Amino acid sequence: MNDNEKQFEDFVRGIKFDDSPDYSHRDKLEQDLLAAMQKQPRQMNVWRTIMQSKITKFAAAAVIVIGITVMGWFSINPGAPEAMSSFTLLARASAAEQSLFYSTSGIAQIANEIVLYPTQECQGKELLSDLESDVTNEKNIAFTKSWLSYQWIPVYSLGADGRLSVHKLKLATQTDKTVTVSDLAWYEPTTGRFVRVLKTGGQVLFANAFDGESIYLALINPEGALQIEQQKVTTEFKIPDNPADFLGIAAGIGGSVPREHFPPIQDVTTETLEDGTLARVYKLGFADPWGKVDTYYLYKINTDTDVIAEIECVVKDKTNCIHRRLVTKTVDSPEFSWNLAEISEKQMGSTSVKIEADEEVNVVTAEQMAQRATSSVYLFAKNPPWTYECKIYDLPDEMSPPARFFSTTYNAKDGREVVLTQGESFTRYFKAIFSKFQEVEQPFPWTYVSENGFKTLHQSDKEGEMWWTEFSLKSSGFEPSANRVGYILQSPAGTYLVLAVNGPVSKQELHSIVDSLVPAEEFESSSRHP
Amino acid sequence: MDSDSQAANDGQLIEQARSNPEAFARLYRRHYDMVLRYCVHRLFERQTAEDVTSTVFLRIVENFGRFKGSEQQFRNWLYKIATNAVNNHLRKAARKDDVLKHFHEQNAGQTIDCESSPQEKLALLKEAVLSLRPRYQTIITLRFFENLKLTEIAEVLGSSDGTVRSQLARALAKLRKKINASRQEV
Repeated sequence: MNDNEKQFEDFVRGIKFDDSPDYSHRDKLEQDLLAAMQKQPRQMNVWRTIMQSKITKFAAAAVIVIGITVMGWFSINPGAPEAMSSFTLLARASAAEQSLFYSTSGIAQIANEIVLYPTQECQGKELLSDLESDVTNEKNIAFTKSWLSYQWIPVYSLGADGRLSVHKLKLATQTDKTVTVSDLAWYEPTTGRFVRVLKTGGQVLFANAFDGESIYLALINPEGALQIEQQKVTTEFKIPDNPADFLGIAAGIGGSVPREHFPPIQDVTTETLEDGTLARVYKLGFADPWGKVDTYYLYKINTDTDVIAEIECVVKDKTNCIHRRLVTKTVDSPEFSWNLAEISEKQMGSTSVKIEADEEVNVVTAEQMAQRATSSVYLFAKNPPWTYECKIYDLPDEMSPPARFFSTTYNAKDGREVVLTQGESFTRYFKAIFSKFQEVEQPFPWTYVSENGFKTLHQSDKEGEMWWTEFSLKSSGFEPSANRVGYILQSPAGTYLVLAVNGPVSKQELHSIVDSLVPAEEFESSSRHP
Repeated sequence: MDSDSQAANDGQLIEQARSNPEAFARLYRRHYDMVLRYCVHRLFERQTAEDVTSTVFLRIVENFGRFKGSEQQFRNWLYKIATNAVNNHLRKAARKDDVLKHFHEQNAGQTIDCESSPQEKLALLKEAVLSLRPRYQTIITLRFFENLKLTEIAEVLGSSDGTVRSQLARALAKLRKKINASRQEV
């Protein structure tokens, strides 16, 4: 013992602490512990449970639900329902929907309504805060489900280059009222002219039209005014063969989601709808880790015509929205002009629903990324040599507003895709989970610690990679391959990143790219980033 | 009972406690005093220490099934969980600020000299220790109040002896500076 230690020991000698045990507390706690032991179905470690439980499988499935939602509502078929896959269901419904647009020589009018039920949009945020206060497997699953089933409805628009874009329809504010949005579309099969208008309470929220020369897109801007963009169609422009791809209840069906990723049909029943239509009801959804299917779609198919009569979206056993067919008929002229000239006059104040433009997802430069980030963000100093293209996507971080979420994607020459995902919510989530782990186990089992201070963790189980790998790849528009790999990275600043690679990665490749991570603000423009 | 035979008994008890609640209760009673004492020495408050002790043992129940270490490691595991529980408590409740604020209010106008009473020394120690980083607090407590060797502290903290030794030296230097400053203030 050196002098300093001896000096301190002398100082504390004689200090009395009130540390004699109180046996009433000890005995009471003993009873609590024995009761807690009995409640435990089996001894488990929360970390291991979280990392290895079926949440991986479920969450991967939940991401797929989003993928499908983004691609559009998928369709249905009649026939032998018990033996039918959801993919077949989709194909048949799409064909049936298409026939509606071509069944007339005049102008086809399709009127639907979208009923949005009150939701608590901030629930996911609350669940994240709750998880941060104390991590349990149940809280983890509740949060993950909430995150992955973020509630919005895709609305499609056709661009001047003939490409489809996605917009998000959702409640703008927390409300306890049900909101109905009218979804009106007119299509002239002989010319390809169309107009689609979404409105509520008389106010136009969204409109997309083609007058034979130009594409029009009308959206409410952040100031509450209707903004109309007109663009002459380009030489690549071509009206999709199937207008149901972007108009009506089955919009987006022509997506490229592989058939094995469609939610399975859980149940088929028959129901008479409010208007007397007899419908077969298909329940499509994934089971959670306990086998419960509480988040699903109900596709209600008209037994006579095979078209979708109604799609009900149920989130955690509560109806979140209903997309319902109202009228399909032939008319002489559309209610709105093909060139949308009159729409702006119909605009009225703000509403409790909004449609966000897809501009919310931006491709940004490294410099812009550094400016927009609210915490440290990183990039590879140079593109990995085995990649040839890089893009940085800037998205809203829905669980930690106003923070941003960044997804940097690289395409490899050999077909692999590399995604580096980072954002406040990832950091909050992993920080909570990792601190739980550190309560009971140290040192942390890092797979690799780089010279620049990044700690890398690679965990996998028999069911495949962790959900964040799927999440990162899917949210960047990549279809996860069977041999994908994922890593969680802890930066020197304490933020967390997910590195997902759609294919095998050698140790050398991993070390080389992690070693090259630099803060976005230090990224040199001479490198090959955008 | 000497520490070796207690460890051997713990080893048997740990195995029995996996399937026998009565054995778990015995194991718990054997270590309750140690955990409570450690929490009191870290937190300087009896009531809070009891609460954190409860948290520690609940964590033990949750994770007991996966504990695979030796008897000695079981004690270190307890210290590890207790350390994390205390640190979490201090962080979440912003305990340090509250405690120090409360301390200053209580002790305003008091004089502390070299011959301070044990009660005054306790207050001085509390202020100085709680101003340290949690890791330094842990090292000081394990070394001087739990009488652990540096190698044992290193095991609890998952660190090397050398690191603990240098951190202990830094912690003591900071404590001395802090205590001397407080004495000069009064």
